[in-house]
Amino acid sequence: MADATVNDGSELKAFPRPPTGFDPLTAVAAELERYGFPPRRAERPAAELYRRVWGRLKDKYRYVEPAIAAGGGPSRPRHPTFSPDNVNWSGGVVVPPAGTSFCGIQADWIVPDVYPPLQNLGYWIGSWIGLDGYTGAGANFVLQAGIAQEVYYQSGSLHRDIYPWYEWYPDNIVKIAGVPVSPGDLVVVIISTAMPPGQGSANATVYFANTTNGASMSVPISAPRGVQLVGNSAEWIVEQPLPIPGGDTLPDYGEVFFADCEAYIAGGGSVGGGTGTALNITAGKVNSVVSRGVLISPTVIQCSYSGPAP
Amino acid sequence: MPLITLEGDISITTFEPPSGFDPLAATDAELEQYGFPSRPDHPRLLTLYQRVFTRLKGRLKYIEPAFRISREASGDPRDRLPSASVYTGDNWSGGVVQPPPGKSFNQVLGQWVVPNAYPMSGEVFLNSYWIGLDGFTGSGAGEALQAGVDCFLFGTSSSLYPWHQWTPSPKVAITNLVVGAGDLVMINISASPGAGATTAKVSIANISSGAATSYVILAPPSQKLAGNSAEWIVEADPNHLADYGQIFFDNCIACAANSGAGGGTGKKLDITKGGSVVSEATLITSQVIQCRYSA
Repeated sequence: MADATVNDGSELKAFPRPPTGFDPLTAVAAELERYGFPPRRAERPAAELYRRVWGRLKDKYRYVEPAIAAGGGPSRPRHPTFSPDNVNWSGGVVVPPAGTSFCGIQADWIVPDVYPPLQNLGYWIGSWIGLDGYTGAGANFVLQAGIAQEVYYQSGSLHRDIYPWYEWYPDNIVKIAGVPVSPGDLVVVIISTAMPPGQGSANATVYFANTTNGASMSVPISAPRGVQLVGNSAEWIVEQPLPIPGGDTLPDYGEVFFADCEAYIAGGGSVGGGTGTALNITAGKVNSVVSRGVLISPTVIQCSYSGPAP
Repeated sequence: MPLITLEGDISITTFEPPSGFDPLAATDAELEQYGFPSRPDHPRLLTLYQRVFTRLKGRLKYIEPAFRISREASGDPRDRLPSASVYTGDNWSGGVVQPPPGKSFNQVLGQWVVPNAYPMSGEVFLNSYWIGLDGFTGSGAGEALQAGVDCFLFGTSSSLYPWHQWTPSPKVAITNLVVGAGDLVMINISASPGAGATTAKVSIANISSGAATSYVILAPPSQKLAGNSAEWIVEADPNHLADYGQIFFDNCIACAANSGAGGGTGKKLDITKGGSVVSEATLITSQVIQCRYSA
């Protein structure tokens, strides 16, 4: 793909297309890095997950050259409060063991079918994974990547725009074109940081695979000017933009199960995404949960739409 | 209460609830009269019931169902039916539970997000995602009462449709309840009183779109429910299993008189092909079962 400069002056550099028959399970670390594949970690469960992702893609892997699309949904704030009940994040968040930082994060999930509650109103919803943005020194940044869905009803027909995206807040969201994603597809997202991995890194790779149709891509991203990864939180999130007063902004997404949720610790080891804190989206009042996060197991997090705001 | 008769001695009773019918406000008699699932006594089930209908409030679209015998499925081997008392089949993956001694199941429910699958190489693929009673062991081994969603791929076309079946009667597809990939569906099957039941109420809701239906079916001639197993299943002939990614069956609950069982508390079943697992189940919690394509 061509190098490009995106908003805020952050640069998008290109990975070369991997050669035909490239096997990430046997490639050496330098080759993985060269072609934008996530690093292969030796320890469990990372090694097992790596094998599983590639086992799934083996016969239908299809490298897609990502392109930056125009637009990119609403400008969104980071998580605005540190309370488990907040207005725009639902899901689960973990923090690393004392004295360590997270250097990467992974999950897979089925892209839900999303329905707009009202006619002629546009809705945006994101399902994503990310580092930072939750607490302490990392509270003002978020390195995140996932799937966005923009939906609206017009004249009785449902319009959908579904696309992968990434964002290293406070830089803006970058929308990726050319990667086919449909409701019901199983997507895998892996974010890894380098030079150095974890705290202090200003470089990340977002790896994305649609294991249902085989489309895969990788994008290198740089931190916003003057920003470095803190790595003091990792999260698996279904997000709505800030609510518009008097209106629902969260469309009915049914439910999302984030599976194989792992946050990788710089230097080795990982933390399961279901071992931390659950987050709910509320309509800004007590007992007004509109999207609920439930920690199902150490590596499974459920987000479910719980109805229009009361 | 229209009565629909299909070939193969299949008759189905459907209902005509008034527009704006609110199951949360309706009396028990009205629920019965209009074919809706009865309001549960158990506090946990009642909470779930209220949550579902609260969510659907204002956009519940009752579908008066239309049916057809599902030809796509009729040629499939029925190796789901074990020949002995021990399950030996190779086309179920998921979770199965059995009732406490002396009890029988009279209800099973569950919900899941319907995964997408793409037609490949012009072959025929058929994945069935369903919940049901019987079909697993002992006196229930020879029949199964099931309802779910099929994903049928042929050539370059794919289709998804909800269905029910009380084997050995053929599979009956619902032709006018639209289910799309990524939709959250919830299914409830009630067969009072459990063992010995000859009728069952099948309720299927597409929670995402609001479309829902409910109807009553009859057991195949001279057959009765055993109620000795309940299951949450991804089913396929291992040679015609499409890559469905994964499914999380949630709110997996089976009820017996004054007792019940979570779907994740029993056995897990995998589909194997040539000795390797191609659809793998994991009992995640007492009420959550994951099935994953692993070929």
